[in-house]
Amino acid sequence: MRLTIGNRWIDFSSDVIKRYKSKEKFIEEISSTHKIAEETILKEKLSEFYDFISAKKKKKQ
Amino acid sequence: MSLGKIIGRCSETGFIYTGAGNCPKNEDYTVALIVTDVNAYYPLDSEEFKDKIQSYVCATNIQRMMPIKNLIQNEASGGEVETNEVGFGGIKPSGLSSFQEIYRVESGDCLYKQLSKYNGRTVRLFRVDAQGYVYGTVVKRGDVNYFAGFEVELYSRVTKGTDKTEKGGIYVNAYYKAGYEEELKNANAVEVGLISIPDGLLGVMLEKGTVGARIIADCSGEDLTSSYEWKADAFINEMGIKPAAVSIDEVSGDLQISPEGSYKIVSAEKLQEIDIFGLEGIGESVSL
Repeated sequence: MRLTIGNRWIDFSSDVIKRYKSKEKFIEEISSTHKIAEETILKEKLSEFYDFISAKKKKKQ
Repeated sequence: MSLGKIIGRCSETGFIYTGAGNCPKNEDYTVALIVTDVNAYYPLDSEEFKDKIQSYVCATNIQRMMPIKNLIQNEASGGEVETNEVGFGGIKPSGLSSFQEIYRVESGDCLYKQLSKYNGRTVRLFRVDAQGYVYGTVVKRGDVNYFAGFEVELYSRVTKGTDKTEKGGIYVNAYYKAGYEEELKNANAVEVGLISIPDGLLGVMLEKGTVGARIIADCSGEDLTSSYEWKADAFINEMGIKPAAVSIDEVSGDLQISPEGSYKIVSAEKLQEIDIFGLEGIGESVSL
């Protein structure tokens, strides 16, 4: 699973959502290491990404 | 009348068909070799063989294939008809002399270091000719016929450059075994196509970079970080768990792997699942 912003990307493991206790924790930890865009944009995109993947997982269940 | 029979084999030969057909195929010069274990056998079905050839390169069992490409010269010797003449019996052919071939490979000292591990070892060798046919022989194990390489003993050597025009090279000497004549009688060729002949694997490892990690080729130290599209699935930590996320640092070009920990690159089989071909993770985990 890949989040692309412009020509930069973060590749995630398929179980990435399961690894973080909350959306906030996910955004905080990923954005502190993988600075692929300006902080506000990155956090916004990570939030959208988290919601999208979570919804996809729920649909599967 | 005496008892017992010693039956010759001429009656088994039957008719010999000497028609040539309109499209005869001769084995062309060898442009690649595929080394396998002496006990490695493959499906005789050409479609199945073609479908699986890439996966054999990454196999973690006895079927692993080790291709050697970039051959630039073949030099054969032996394989001539040997004769003997006893008393007034005239000249009689007694079979073929032992056959050997020397393959020159265009590559560097690092490949030699790997190939020298075969020195003195009996292996099987498939020859890939200039038309993309993989040549080997048919062996029967139990009731099943398999495709296998020719049995050879390998010995590689490397030469250094001697002046501005004479560069050094790697020479792979293949000494074919006594059964080679029989192997040729049972020869089999599969048209795989040169573009589908897999590359040999290159051992790669993680190295600590300025802010993250670099992917480095074993021996040559070549940096492959930007040569492939690395994914989270390409790495595992000491517990066998993949990282949560991977990205490239824009300034240093290093791979950023999170969460922090010790990681290594996965096997060729796993890398192939994420479309990274020709590499295999080796070495210990690196703390990042």
